[in-house]
Amino acid sequence: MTTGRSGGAPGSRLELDAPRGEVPPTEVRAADWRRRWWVLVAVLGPGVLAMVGENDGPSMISYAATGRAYGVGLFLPFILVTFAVAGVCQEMCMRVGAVTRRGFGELVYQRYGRLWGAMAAGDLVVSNFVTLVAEFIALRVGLGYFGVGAPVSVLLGSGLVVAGSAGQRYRRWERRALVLAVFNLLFVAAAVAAGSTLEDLGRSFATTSPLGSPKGQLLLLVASTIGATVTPWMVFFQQSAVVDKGFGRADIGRGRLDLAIGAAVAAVCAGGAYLAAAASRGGTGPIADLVAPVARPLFALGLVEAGGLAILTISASGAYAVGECLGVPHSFDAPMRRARLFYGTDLVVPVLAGVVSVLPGLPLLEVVIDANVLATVLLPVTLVFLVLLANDRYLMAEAANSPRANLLAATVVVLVIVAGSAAAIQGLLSAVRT
Amino acid sequence: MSGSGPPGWDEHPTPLPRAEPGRATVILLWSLRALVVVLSVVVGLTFALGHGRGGHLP
Repeated sequence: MTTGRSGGAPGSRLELDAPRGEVPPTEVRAADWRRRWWVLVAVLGPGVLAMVGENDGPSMISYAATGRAYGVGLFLPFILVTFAVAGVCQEMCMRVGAVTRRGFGELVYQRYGRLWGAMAAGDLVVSNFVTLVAEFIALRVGLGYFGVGAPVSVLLGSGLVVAGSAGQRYRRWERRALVLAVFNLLFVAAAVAAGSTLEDLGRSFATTSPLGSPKGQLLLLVASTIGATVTPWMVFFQQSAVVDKGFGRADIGRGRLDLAIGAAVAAVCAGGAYLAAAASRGGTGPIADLVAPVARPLFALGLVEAGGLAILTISASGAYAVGECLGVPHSFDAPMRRARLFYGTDLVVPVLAGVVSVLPGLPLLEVVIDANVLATVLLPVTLVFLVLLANDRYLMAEAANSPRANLLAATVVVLVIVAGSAAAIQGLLSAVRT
Repeated sequence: MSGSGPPGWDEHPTPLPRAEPGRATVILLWSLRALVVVLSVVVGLTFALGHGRGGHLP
């Protein structure tokens, strides 16, 4: 690479100053940065989509509701911890997928038998369906702010799935989903518009304390926040997408970078939703009132993106799982006529969830809250299988979990079990009391 | 991405042999399965009983 100036005053036309045939250093640097930029863009994929995809409608509503109820100072640092927890789980998914080149459902099915494979897929189907209903509700709430009716939002959500898979190439599907994921940053814009400042952020970390919060609500919020960041669909999705993208053992480092970027972006955007509501404390009533009027259009648009991206990724996770467990083609690279079940599941399940989301009398907020709690409750068995697979020497050889990774994973499993159990029991007790 | 290239979508990888988990692992898995079933019923009951507990959406 050419270094140093070839003469001439600063700011002069280097093209004229450079010797014939030598590329001016600014152009070299620009080309180098362009190359680095494209390498970075090429790395982005399943990790970013799993992490930002989990910043879905129910999660952002949950973060905002917590921010409005408690203000800055309690949950913002906890949100960052939960993204670290999600990172531990997703790194194992990516590593197992890259080494074995098989999806999570396929591995459980083949290594632990049909019964466990069917139960893992069953957990996914239940939690995916409930979560998809919640995503359509988020889409409906976001679009509703702009006067778009509920049936139209179901059509738009379903159309998104069709548009996503229409290219019949994984790369195209991934690119479209990544473009959508960029708009998760609208929650950061909403926080700025609502008047959040860096001072608020600093105060949040300086004054964080769980003491003084009502214990029952705190447990529910802890579980809800964990459910908002780690879910069964993320495990199935990332491992299958890593395989579909063609990752191998040599790509584990890139996969980790993809995940780290995804976790950082998702944590910033989740913090944005939290701060947007925390800066607008005091509002009550419908969800649009979670944030100050000036930030509402941005927050509503953010909900549209959050619901839309999650509909894409959650539907894909279900389609992958069905294909893997039944042993039929399951790839966005497959032509539609050869993978009817895969593409059919990818489309039909979200359409059904969309129809359920517009049923008259459906308690929308309860669906949104319970979707997160249900995801936490259903997660432990999936996580234990993930840890077993990541420790399976037959599959993983030297890429198996280290003792440190196992300690982290065990901590995460215990945390999820305790939070899920406490939240489920607390939720029932409060429902009985009301 | 990697040199050896990914398996094509229409390739059928060799079936894997069954793992043989130890007794402790089997007990852990079934205990967690039972817990998941019980807690799922609890969440379902909460949903059925608790309408209106969390405010409303437009």
